[in-house]
Amino acid sequence: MAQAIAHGGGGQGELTHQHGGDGGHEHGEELEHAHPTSTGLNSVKMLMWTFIGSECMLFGSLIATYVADVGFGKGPGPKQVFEIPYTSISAFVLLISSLTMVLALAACQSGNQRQLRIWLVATAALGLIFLGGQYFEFTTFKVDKGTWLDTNFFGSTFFTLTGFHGAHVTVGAIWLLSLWMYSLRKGIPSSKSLLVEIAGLYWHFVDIVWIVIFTVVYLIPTSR
Amino acid sequence: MTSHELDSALLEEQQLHVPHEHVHPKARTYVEIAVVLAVITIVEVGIFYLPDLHEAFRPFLLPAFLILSAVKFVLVVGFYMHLKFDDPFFMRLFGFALVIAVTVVTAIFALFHGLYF
Repeated sequence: MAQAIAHGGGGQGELTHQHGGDGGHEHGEELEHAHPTSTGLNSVKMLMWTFIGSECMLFGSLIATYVADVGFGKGPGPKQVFEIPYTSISAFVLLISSLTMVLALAACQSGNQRQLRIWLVATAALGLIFLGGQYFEFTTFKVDKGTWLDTNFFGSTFFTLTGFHGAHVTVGAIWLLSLWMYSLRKGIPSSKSLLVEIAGLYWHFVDIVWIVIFTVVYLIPTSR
Repeated sequence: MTSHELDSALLEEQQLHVPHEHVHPKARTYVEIAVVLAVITIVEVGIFYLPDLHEAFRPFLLPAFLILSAVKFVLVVGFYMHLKFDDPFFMRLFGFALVIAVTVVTAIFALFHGLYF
């Protein structure tokens, strides 16, 4: 069941269209750009979830490769290399960034542009802080602990896995800063909150991958 | 009405017409979730050091870590990614991929280390 609500503004009428098949939680799509789908679900959101599913399997394979090595090989291993208190701070930073991201979405959906921009910048900044921490950690591992990509199987799998994760965080930070600049130029009204929601889905996924990495890669091998 | 007032009125009207389970949480809920996530992370780091007090704690670390991280995972996916409030199709889509990923990790671990820890 659809509700058409007319917006007025600038001489251009925009119709927002609510899809009942999507649980009724769509916060408005411009009718002139809305495409009917056979599922009644937003196709952009479905594409994003499909992409997240594929990323799940990517990180699953990388984590699987890492766990295959736990306990094997010469050279430094997790117990000799990892500093759990330091890494837990990184985990905190990324968790807080998830909060700021969802607050950015809530601000966008309520039409508060100022708060949207603040939370978008905060999220990107926290992501960059996380990346800085990762760089420092990797440098310490290489210089002080003698562990790098080519040291042993542990080094190869660990740096490949966390390197891929770091690359995803980098892409996410660039995405968020682009959204922020877009919001400065044109604003992101609640009718276009899907833009922020899609970026949020990506960012939260990056966070949940780190939740898994922190436990499976850092905590469990170091505690054995 | 200004554009902002119209947006707010529109959002309010939409929320009045949608079933309760499809209404998104408020900012306060998100902050409460964040506090829970932070506490769980602190607990994880805390129990990591329990074997230093007594070795008897060590066998309990693995299940504790897995359970705590699973709780964090579900909270972020359910509330922050809105999967709890979205159409069930998205949950099935993500769940399918997640099952495959977990199966692969478990299978590789079992292959190289056995099913014991």
